Amino acid sequence: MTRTPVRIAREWGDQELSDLLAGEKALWDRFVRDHAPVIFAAVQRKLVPAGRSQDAEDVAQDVFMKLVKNDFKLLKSFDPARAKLSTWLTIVSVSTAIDHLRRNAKPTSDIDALPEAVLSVPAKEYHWINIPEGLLPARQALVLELLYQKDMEVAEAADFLGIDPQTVRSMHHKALTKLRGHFRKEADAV
Amino acid sequence: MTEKDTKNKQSEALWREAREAWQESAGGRALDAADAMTLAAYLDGRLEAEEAEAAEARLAADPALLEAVADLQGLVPAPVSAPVPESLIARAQGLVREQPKGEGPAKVGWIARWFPSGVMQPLGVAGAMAALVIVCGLSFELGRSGWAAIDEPGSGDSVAFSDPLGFSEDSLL
Repeated sequence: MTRTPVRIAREWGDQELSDLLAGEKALWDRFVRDHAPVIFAAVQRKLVPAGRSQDAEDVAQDVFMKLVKNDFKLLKSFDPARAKLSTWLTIVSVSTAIDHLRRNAKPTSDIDALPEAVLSVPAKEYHWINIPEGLLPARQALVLELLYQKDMEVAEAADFLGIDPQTVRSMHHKALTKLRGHFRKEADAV
Repeated sequence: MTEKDTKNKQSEALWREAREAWQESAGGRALDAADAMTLAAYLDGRLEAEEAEAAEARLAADPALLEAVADLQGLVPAPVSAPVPESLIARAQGLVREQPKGEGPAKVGWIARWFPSGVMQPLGVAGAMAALVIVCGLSFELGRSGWAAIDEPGSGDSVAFSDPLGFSEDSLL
């Protein structure tokens, strides 16, 4: 398989994007060449650990199809004033890969063809968490999720959120106090 | 306060209990365009406080997305790239076709140039109806008097017949 060498694209300007959205074929071709490495890498990062690296090309193609569909509707929703194009494309690609994994929860590849390392990783199941409204502020819930579900240290969680580690500790403490109170009330009600 | 005071097994058990109680049975929800834009802005550190809270609420609720974002966060300033199969480039480029030269906006007839764009369709309908009325009227008139005049040999109305090619009325029969 021929592979295009990695090339980090410079960020596209507003003018290039608006010309592309007007349907200029040459610009679309350049857009694909410039951004395929970012899209493909983001897709691979989700699919390889799940043992579905063979789907990467198709999922990356799905990302491009999403961008083009309905006269570039999704691409038109990108706002260069709010984020970098590469960041946004990474999010869209990762989301497409996650959707693909959800749709194809059971591996279809020949079990003998897969390396042992891949088989030893159980497929992860993700469930949406519906935090009761008004119980925990988003950031407090996220602190608990980062510390216990992602198993981050306080410093890592602080880095993720861009806040001071002491603030993380304080949020953690407040969140736990609220949770204890919530479950105590539930137990009393029963 | 040390890290040991912060993270402990008891607190972990409490959070796991809460998550289990609140988790939905369905796998998750797809990210929409607005979510994607907000998360990208969050990762680039360009959100206002209120928007950041909405993004964090989404991350707290969707473990798959949180994992993806946590995974990518360190890489966002210098996005990761991977060698790309040439076949992917070709397929993706094929999604947008070259517009044939000269295929610009739809061609407009000379009549249409005289009217604003929204007027042509109603005008066309009115024209078609007028033509229908004229055809009906003419048919009626022809049926009422035209054939009757031909059938009456002595009516005095003669029908001119032009014969530019030299055929006589008889040769056409």
